[in-house]
Amino acid sequence: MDLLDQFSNINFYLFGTFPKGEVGGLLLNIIMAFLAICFSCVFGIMLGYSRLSCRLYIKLPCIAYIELVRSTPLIMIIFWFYFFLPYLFGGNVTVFWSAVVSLCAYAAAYQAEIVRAGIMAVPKGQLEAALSTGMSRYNAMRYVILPQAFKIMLPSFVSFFVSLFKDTSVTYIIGVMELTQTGIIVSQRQPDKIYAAYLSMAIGFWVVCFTMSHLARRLEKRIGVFDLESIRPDACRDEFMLVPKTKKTGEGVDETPSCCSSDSK
Amino acid sequence: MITGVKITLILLVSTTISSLLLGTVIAIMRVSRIKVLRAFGTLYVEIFRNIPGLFWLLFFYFVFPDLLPPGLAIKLNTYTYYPVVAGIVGLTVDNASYVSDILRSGRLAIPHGQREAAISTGLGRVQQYIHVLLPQMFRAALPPLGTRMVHNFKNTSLCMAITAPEITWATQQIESLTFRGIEATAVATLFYILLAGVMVSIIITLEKVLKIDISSISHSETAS
Amino acid sequence: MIKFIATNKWFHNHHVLRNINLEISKGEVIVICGPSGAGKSTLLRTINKLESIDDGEIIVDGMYLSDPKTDLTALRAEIGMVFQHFNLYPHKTALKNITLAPRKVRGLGKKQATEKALKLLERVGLTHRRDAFPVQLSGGEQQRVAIARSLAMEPKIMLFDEPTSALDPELINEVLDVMVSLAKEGMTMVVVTHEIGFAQKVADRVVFMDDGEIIETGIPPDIFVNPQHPRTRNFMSSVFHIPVFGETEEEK
Ligand SMILES: Nc1ncnc2c1ncn2[C@@H]1O[C@H](COP(=O)(O)OP(=O)(O)O)[C@@H](O)[C@H]1O
Ligand SMILES: [Mg+2]
Repeated sequence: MDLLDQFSNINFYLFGTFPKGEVGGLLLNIIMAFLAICFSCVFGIMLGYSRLSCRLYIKLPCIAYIELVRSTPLIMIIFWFYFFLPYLFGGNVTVFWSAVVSLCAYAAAYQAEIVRAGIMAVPKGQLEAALSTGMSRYNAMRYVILPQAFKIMLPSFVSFFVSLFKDTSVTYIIGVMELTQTGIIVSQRQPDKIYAAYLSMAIGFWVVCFTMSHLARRLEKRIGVFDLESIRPDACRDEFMLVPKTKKTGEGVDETPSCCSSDSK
Repeated sequence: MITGVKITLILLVSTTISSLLLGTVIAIMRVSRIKVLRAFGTLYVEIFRNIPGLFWLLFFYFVFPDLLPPGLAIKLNTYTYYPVVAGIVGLTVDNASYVSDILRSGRLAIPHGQREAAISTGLGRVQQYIHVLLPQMFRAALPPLGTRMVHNFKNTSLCMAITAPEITWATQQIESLTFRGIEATAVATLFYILLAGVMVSIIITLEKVLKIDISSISHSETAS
Repeated sequence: MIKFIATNKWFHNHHVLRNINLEISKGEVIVICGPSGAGKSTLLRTINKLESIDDGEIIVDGMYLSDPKTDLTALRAEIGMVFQHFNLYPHKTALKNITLAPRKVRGLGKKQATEKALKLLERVGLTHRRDAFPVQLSGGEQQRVAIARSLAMEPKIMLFDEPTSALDPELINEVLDVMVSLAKEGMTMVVVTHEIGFAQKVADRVVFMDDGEIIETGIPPDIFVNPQHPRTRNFMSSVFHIPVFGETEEEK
């Protein structure tokens, strides 16, 4: 069977040499995207939240990081970590971890923007209601503001996951044995299987992305999309900070957003 | 490195224009009344958006020539600038799927009355699009379209995978020839950041100009 | 219970509270009225320090608000606040809206908090809506849940900022009824409202504000029927011509 022979490498595309050897192929893409999204989520929340501070010394570094990463191609970020991680951790950083760290640094900047939009979309009255029942700022954020923000963020979050998943293909450049790399190697070693190789790559990515982007669209219909571009880049929400900016020194903690709260309709 | 900059700029300008054109066509197809066109537009977006841009670059470089008659394939494979051409095509088809999605949302946001007004003044289908609908679509879609174009600019760096001699490829050449990769990468990163900054400021200016334009025509408040 | 001493507040250059002096004793029901932008909301929000003051002093139940050492959480736990737009938590059911603060601030167990919340829901007549989410409730129901949410912290003072002005006319009374019964039980209440019927029924004093100042204070008949100050007279005559208030009058 000719066709069967063409796709005889199917295991390679799906899991690499997995049970016997290293994980590879599509499974590796999924693992990388998953790890990157989990880690970057933590940084993204911190970055996005801090960016909403009205204190310039907190806000500016966050903006700088976010904007720098967002205007640098992923491939460059991957190169940078590929160069520098071995300096930091000695020579024994595998390409896999180098790729995950790069993806994470990259994703954090984008996630931060999603988080920022989500928090901005929660009305200020929610915080006031929580504070007026005596809740601490931390509890108000944790039980009232963030749960609402996360719900608003969910569709963008899933869309971003699709985009990040596609971006994991770029890590082939430093030799991660993921689906793209597998396809390229197979098509070079066995030129007669080039069509099968490319077809496997396309279908592999397509199935995962298609499923996720349909999930995203369903969520968008249910929850609604939030327009990221509509938020002014310098908008800040000091009232949502755990320690709001003091208005006058020696006058006690100012609880109000005196500086620059901005509507997020 | 200088050639690298030149090739990157060529990639940027040509893919921006071509993906806008292709994206517009696909977007119009997707809101068309003709079922076949709509299905085709949707199919296009579903296929190209769910497969990485990198794949399309590799596909147009390695596989596409083989699909053509042998004579043409050899011509393409020996053509010095084929990597650049494949890069332009690959980036265009990828980016156009996003552009069409953004424009389609822009089209759906235009109130029904606009087309009815256009029809009632006797404009034909094409004229409706050129004079009434497309300008509004682009205006509404400008901010996300801008973000998308910056993204597309960054994606030109992927063309190094198919040996298009753009700036990222140049840094890798310098790295392997002179081992001064860090310096080269730093310069290239700076280049990307600066050019992305320039693009963003162009978009912001464009937005301001168009906003003034709108408010002076209709005297209505535009959402800020 | 609440004492304003020469309180002033600015928003940038805008002088929103001008030399406010007001003393409210325990169990008193105060109605604040005045034109839009007069500073009524701001005055109310300084009491639980959602807004800070720039000058003067406010003393609430012995706590000095300008003292940075005042425990804000403790202060706010003693003061309930009801907002014009309800501000219910949209991601939580009516019951959970009520139990959140008692559990997180007072550290009540789930069972205790729920029992208490159910009593309060019964009191505002919404036991059957305990598992509804805010979007499923009418405006009047939402506002009653909001009142129950504040009461769950067993406050000594209740602040109301135009609690009925976002409601359809036919839903106003269900909220006012709850407020009247609260007033009759001896709760200290500060209410910003233009519901004159409510004021005449339960208010001990009415405070008329304009342009950041307290223009006039007195018992309801004096302020509504026989105001001394021309600005008050102006405002009252314009308000009495709004048909909604005419209805409330009739009903009385
Ligand atoms: N956060 C704020 N920042 C700046 N100005 C404000 C703010 N809140 C209220 N103001 C201004 O203070 C004045 C009094 O507002 P408010 O107390 O809400 O009036 P009222 O409730 O009587 O209508 C208004 O002119 C309003 O514009
Ligand atoms: Mg008000």
